[in-house]
Amino acid sequence: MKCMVDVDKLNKDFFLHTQGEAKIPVFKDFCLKLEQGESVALVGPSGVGKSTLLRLLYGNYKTGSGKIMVNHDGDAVNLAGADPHTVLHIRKWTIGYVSQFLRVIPRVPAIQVVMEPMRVRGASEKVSRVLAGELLTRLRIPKRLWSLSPTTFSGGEQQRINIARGFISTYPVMLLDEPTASLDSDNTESVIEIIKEAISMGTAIIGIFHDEDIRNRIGSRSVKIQPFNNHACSKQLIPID
Amino acid sequence: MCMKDSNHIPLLKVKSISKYYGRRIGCRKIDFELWPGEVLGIVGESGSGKTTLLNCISGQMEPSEGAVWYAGNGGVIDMCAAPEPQRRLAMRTEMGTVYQNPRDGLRMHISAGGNIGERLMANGLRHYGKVRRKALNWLEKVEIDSERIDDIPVTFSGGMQQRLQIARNLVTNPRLVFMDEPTSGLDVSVQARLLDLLKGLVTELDLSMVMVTHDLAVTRLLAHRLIVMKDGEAVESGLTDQVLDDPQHPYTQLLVSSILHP
Repeated sequence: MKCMVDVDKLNKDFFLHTQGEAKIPVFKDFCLKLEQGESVALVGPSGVGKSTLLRLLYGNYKTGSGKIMVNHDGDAVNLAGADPHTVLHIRKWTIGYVSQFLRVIPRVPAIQVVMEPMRVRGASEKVSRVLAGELLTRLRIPKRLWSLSPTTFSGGEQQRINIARGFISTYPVMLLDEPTASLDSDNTESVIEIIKEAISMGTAIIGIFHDEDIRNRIGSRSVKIQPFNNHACSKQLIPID
Repeated sequence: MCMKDSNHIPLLKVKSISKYYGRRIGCRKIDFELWPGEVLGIVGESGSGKTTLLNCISGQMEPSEGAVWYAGNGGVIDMCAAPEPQRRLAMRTEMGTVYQNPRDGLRMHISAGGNIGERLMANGLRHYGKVRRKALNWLEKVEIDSERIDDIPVTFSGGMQQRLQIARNLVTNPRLVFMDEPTSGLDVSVQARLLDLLKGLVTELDLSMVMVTHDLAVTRLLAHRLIVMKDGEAVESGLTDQVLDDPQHPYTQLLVSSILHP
């Protein structure tokens, strides 16, 4: 199997200079390997650093030390310490991220928010619009809302816009931060389907899913993150199921 | 998967730019590269050297030290050392500047349509009907009533003047636009429309932008990368979301923690 992400001896501390120079250690020598078409669920108590790990893997947080090797179109690129231009390129083509919150320019219609990742890759307006429409329909966003800005949508609707935006393009690696947290059961089903389809096409997934049933249905290997993770590398990959 | 866009070279290379006003420091040893289609935000408190840096790299002020390499349609030129005509040509046809004060960027006693059409005509468009149509189209894009096309900018509100300035600069599809606090004088609803417009243009035209602003929310939505300046120096730089969500330097942390809605 092709290794897509290889996290090696990752260290991360937060230094809060404006709050009495507080130091918050989050990861020490953390390791994780992710292969093509594999799904990994991060588990552990709230505040342990699950979302922080996803953000580190997306280049959103700065790595203290260690390596995050990403298979970027066949090249092994170290995301930790890569220049911004390279990180943007990796985000455009290799790593997708569905965050918990939607951040958009006010007044931009929902359908355009969903189309954007395709448009950035150079897809035509027409093709992007059709694909965005299909995803929005699957996620039960009524057509009358497509032309409205999602800033006024409900939490669940915003989350679905975020999911549609994340899955409209195919990424070899997807990071999912509680993608079904504010969805009803029907929509949760649709999202699970969409995730499973992506995996069957070879996408590797690292996600946070609080519901054990969802973890099982996606077929995830669980990786437990310990409170201030200071174990040696080999002890990090403990499947709990 | 088509990833051919990886082979571009930077549009702008800024090498160790410094500007001294006598013994005072305007900005010191600033380095960065700007790629096609990228938006760079320069943030920091007033007096931190943001505008000085912008003026140095946009060819409007001579830096005390350093070089600015621009890879334009006519090959790579050093904006600080190239012959004046070559520099002027690049500035007129491939670059645009939107000033903080619209009065610096507009001809206040020429009609709105004339302001938009001027650069088109300077670049060779002669058909009056076409110039006027383009002007009307751009007025609509920046949400100025088309009936105002023959009015002069002194009769416009501050926000309208700013939008007209943006239209005047973007009408010729420049490759690189410099903006100094472009949205600070606009009301919020227009600001959002303008951000959307600028973002669309960046994607469609591979437009690059260097934007000075104190509004971190604007940079989050528009800029790919940030440079944080303090006392003339770049204290931190990186991807916009990384700088805002995981700021490293004490000053950046203070800046980010001081805003209401980042």
